Amino acid sequence: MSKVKLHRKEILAAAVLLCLVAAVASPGFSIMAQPARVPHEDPAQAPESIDSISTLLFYSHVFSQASARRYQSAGDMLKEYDLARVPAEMRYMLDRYRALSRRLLDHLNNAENLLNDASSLVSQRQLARARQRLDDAGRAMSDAQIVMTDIEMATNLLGERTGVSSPTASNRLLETYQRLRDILNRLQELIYELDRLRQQLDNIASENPENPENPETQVIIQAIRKSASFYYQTWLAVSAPKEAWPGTPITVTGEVSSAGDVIDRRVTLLLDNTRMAEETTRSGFDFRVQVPPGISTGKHTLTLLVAPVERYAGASWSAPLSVIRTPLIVDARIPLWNVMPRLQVSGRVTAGPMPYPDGRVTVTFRKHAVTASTASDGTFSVDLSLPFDPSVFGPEEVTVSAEPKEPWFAADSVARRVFMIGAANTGLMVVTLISLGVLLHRRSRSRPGRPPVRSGGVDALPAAVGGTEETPRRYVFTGSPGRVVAAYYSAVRMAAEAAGLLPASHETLREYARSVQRRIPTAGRAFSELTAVVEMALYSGAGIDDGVVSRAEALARLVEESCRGAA
Amino acid sequence: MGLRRFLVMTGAAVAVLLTVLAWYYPAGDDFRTDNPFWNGFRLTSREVTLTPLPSLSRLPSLPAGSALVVIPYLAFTTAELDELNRFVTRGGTLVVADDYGHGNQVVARLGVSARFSGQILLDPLLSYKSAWFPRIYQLSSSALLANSDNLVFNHATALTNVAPGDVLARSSSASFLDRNASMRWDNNEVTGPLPVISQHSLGSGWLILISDPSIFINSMRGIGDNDSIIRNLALGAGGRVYIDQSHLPKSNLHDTKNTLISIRDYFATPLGTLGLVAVVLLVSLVPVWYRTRKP
Repeated sequence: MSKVKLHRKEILAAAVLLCLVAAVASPGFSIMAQPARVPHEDPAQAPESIDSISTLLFYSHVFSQASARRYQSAGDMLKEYDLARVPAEMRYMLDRYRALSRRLLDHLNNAENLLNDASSLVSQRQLARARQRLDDAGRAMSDAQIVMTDIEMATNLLGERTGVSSPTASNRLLETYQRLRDILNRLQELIYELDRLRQQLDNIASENPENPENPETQVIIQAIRKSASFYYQTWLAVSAPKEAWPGTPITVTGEVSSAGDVIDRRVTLLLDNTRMAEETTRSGFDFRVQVPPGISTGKHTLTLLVAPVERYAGASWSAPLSVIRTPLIVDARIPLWNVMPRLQVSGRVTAGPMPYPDGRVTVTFRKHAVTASTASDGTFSVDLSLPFDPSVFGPEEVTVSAEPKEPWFAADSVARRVFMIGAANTGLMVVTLISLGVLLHRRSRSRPGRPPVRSGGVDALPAAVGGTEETPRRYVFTGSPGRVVAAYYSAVRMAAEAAGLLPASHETLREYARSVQRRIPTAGRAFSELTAVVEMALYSGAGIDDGVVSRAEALARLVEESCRGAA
Repeated sequence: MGLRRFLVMTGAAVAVLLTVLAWYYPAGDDFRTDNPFWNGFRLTSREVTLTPLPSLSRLPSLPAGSALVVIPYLAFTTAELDELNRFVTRGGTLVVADDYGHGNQVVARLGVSARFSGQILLDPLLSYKSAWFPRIYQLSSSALLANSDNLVFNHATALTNVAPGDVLARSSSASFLDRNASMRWDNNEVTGPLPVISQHSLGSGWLILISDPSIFINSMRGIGDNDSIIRNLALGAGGRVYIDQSHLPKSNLHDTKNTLISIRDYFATPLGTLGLVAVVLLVSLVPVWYRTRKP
């Protein structure tokens, strides 16, 4: 038993060691390893963070643009803030802050435009209209000043909400907040400056109606014009299609108009970001262009641009253009299974309800493809010759695709799985199975016989003492033990003849005795006693006397009689 | 059973198990078309049929109308740069998606003045979850960005020296390039809007620069309108979209898979198949012959 345990330990240790060696030595050991530097992170696992200081910084940039009189840029930045991520608890306040900022920009932009108009009117000696513009500008500046005051208060609140007043406020927060306040001060200065210019121009319009060209007037006018970005407004009226097909023409017509005089304007038509046509006109325009054949389907954008000229502002117009393609439909007949090396596929291609002639049809299997053209009725038939490839066996994907000649049709494809049967690998499998079968059959024939089935298998009897010449002699007993064993074997032979019950090679004497008792109850008791006697004869260190031998032979005779009776 | 025989059988079983595991377990390499995990391209490549290229020498000889996506995390040889130049000038669309790699090497060879900044682009306000995921709302009307309202980048950079007419997409006004990686805006750091996608005409083809290759990975699909870019690219290329896999870092598992594929390809040849049949016959019939001859 201890020898068996040692052997198992050795095997277990060797197996574990082998696994470790294989794992370490295997080139695929780093099977779970990731590259050392990952230039991105899993968005699903990324933590969410919102930075309220960034809001203060953002508004400082917005007001910085406004203080430099770049109202359009500032307004564009504010529009982006609609989409910003902000703390939920500050959402309402920030929305209000943004609305105030928007109003301030509108008032400042309006005021500057009015001042510019007024300066032009003064130059043209239209003083009454100029004074009207100046009054409007004054109201705009008053509104701007009111909003500016609200913004100052709102900024104080914003600072408190972000923790500026807290003793634990970070340096970054304090610096950003101070920066915002400084820029608001500059913006306030701008309002004062514009108002001062307005007052000066108003004085000129009131006191010097005959001398609009004097140097002092010109200085003021130039100061106002420095700040203005737009002069005469320009409008566009456009008529354009909403849908188009690739490779087909579209027509875009319209009219451009401006405040002020009628002049030549350059109008440019773009499709997405590509210039399609350009024209110089004084009012109406008419573009007829072809949609590019290679354009993708889906939503695109038509844009018209009117370039600014001198004091005439530019203008733009855009609208979506939906590009669509009529899809082809492939109706392919692909077999469910196929024997290599040939594969035949046929079918029909239609465009809507009509057949599609001269279309290109490609049948693809793995890396092999064959192309054919559809007939006048849209049908096709393709014969694919497949090269030798023993790895092909089982379901494989076959794809049939149809490509149109015209750009206003869309391609279509169909894919199906075909059970491919290859002659080479089928033969290989058959050879392998046959050889394995032969091997197993030979092994089963050369294997020694198994223990007999209880119901009637015949086993070779162990050699009996003084056995006949037909039975092989394995044990030789002499003397009294031999006579006891001979009697026992005689009883076993009788039991075998009566009930077909032979002892198995793994069976002990007592187990066999129990089996005899079950099968031949009348002989059971005698046989059990005989078993005990033969055990004594075989294993006892002391000798046995003739009485025991006689008893054994008597018991054997009893068993014999009982077996004859049972048979 | 003897110990030696047991060790041989165990060793064979372990080898087979490791081979099967290496064959079927998907590699976790970034940007690989066979990687189904969050950092792979499998979902993207299935939707629009990306053709992976193990080498740029396999580019089509007539590239007109086709598209090639390059993620240059490894340096290029002179021959490879020439291949790219040939591809673009003969009518192909080359998409260079890079953030911290060797994209500037490609761009310089093609003679374009635009460059990848290489600095981290952060947007603390207009972003997805955090400043590392800037949202791109300023999209120009173009075929590449058709049907897109916004994109979401993932640890991106920005483009520099791009002519205004070549810009297709810009980051927001709240974005900035974090030069010193402080995670906050400092006075000398460039603020947005910054170009992040640009398009340049070269010969008969087009060069598109995207300052973040991660918009194509599996986990970024469905976030913003990131899916539309590759879809539009495939539509414009008639479905012929190639993706270069030869300039991506390789893991040991990837190398092992390639080795197994090479072995399988060898056995797929007539000579290899014949050899395999012979080995199988030998293994199965030698014991039979041995027993037959044994007295």
